[in-house]
Amino acid sequence: MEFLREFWLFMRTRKRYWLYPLLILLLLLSALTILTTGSALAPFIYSLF
Amino acid sequence: MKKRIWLFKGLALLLPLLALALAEGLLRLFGYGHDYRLFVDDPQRKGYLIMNPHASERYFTETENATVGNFEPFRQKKSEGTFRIFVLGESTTIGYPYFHNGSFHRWLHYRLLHTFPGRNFEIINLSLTAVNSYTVFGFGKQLIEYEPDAVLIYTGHNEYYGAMGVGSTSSLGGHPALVRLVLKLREFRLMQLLNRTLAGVRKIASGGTVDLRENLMKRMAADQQIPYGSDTYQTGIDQFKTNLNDLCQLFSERRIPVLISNLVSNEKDLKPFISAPGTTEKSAQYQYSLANQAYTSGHFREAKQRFSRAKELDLLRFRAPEAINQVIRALAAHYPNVTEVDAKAVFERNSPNGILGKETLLEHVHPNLYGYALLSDAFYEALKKKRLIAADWKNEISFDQVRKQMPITPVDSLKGVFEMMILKEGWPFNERMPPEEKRAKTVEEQLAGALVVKQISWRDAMDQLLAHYQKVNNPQGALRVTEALSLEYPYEPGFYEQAGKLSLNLNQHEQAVWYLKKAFQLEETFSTAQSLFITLLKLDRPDEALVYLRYAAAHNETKFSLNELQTFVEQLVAVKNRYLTDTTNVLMSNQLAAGYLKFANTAGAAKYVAKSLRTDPRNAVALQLKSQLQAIKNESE
Repeated sequence: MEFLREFWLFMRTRKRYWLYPLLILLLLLSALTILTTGSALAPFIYSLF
Repeated sequence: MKKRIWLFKGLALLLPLLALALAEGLLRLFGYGHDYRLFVDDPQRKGYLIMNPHASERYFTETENATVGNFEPFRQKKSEGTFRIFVLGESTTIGYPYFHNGSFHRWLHYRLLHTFPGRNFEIINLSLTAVNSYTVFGFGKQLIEYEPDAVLIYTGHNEYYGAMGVGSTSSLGGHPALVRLVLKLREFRLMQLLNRTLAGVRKIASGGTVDLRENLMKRMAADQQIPYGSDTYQTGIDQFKTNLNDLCQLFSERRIPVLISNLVSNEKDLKPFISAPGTTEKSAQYQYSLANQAYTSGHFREAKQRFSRAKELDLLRFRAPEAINQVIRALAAHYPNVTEVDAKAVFERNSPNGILGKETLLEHVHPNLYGYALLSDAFYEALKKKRLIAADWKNEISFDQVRKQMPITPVDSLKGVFEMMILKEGWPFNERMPPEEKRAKTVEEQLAGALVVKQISWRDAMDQLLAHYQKVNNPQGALRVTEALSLEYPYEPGFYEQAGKLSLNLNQHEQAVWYLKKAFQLEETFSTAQSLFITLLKLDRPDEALVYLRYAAAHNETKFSLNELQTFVEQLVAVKNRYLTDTTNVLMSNQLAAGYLKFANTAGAAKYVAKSLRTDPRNAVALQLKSQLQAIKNESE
């Protein structure tokens, strides 16, 4: 119990240890998604294939 | 204390991953998103698998644009003696604009079924319109565990503008490793959520304005012209090479035979979509004009070269460059279990002066029905050459035969015609639709029209066409539709039985036996067994008839005993086996004729009377049997 309380306190005070990785991961995933996004016009040519 | 701090730091760093895992778990628990694996259980048929309707969503940024393919069921556990083929590729591979039995794999299926009547074939087409080598690779690598006996591939036209193509993907399109990573990540529901959120944001940011299709197309063309030899051009080829090479390597390691066809494009009857201006060597339009001049003057070799050059220089890369065919050739040379199917050569042999055009192709890349038959022929011949199914192809059916017999209905071919009219009316073809003829439309035209605009399904169209043919007493037409349905739904015994009975009415006994046997294989019924033994006795195949007669006698649904007939046929088989060792024995041929006559099998009786009279033209018993036969014939007339 004591351990969890201390861990909670650590998390509250040093957010960079968990918040930054979370943000970086989400940003990375979003960047990958955006960079591999199909052109907005692509669907219109699908009827040709 | 210091130790504890380090522990907290480590745990804190792990926490985001745990949070993501938790979010993923919750999304799955509440049924958000889709499972993208290639096959799912067939809801209609226990023990069978079908292609997952969501499998393609992984390759499309906007999942609502994801194309859907065929749902061809196959057994979860491959039965002994079954030859299982998977087909991978794009719109040509799935038979656009005909689909269904117009597709090359159905032509091939039909021909293989008739070449090897005793074998079971499962040909599962996993192709989709608008996809390219990323999808072929993604689907292909999942096939290993499904015991393929061969994999057929026809792909390469969509490397630039298809889903994840270099011309249609924002920035990372040309980096296969990154694209594959993103495709892998899309399996996670969290990524699917992120994808949808970003799509929603894009929609809001664009203000939800709807642009006209025509304008969008023109803008796209201006944005995405890909000059011959440019970086983007090369990236497309490299992407194709990476994906196909990795797939061939994977299949090679498992010793799975792969047959890849080279690609065909319209050379002669399609002017370049977009050309560099002027009269330089780099102008596609200029090359095309010179090609036409050479063609008109009868300089076909020069014309062929210039038509091909015009295609290569076309800035709108809807037709695969020749470099793609070179990649295919190199793969076949590198991997021993990979075979190049030279469809291009087959098309050239069947085109005037060896130049591909409207004789085999509908527009830029899609074959017409004759073209699809040719494509299937190229694969059929390659399978034969590789002796993959059997060493001996003694019952082979010719290309002309398959063209004559293939159950393509008028609705199927008209659907292709109408679909083309609509396609060519728009960009980038911009061809005027021919004026509508002022006459009442035939039933076939009405059904094909309704099919094109998706008012009815193919199944409904076939059902209505069958009803129409039955109403107007067109048994040939009804048979063709029923055959078409049996090819589309190979696990429904009713269509085989119906095709068998319709064949019987048309006195096509061999064909009737083929269909009835298929029906009996799927579902043993008294009615099918009865039709089978009667027809087989008519065809003088008593040993085969006996199998079905025994079944019919054991499951007799009539008030007449079949036991006497069974005993007779057993004797007949014995006499016939003896007769086959001495075919000049008139006593035995008369015995066989009399036996058949006893059960009013005039066809069987006549055959043996003729044999007796050939050996002994004055044989009294044979002459008497002949007059009996004549009397029966006169009576029936």
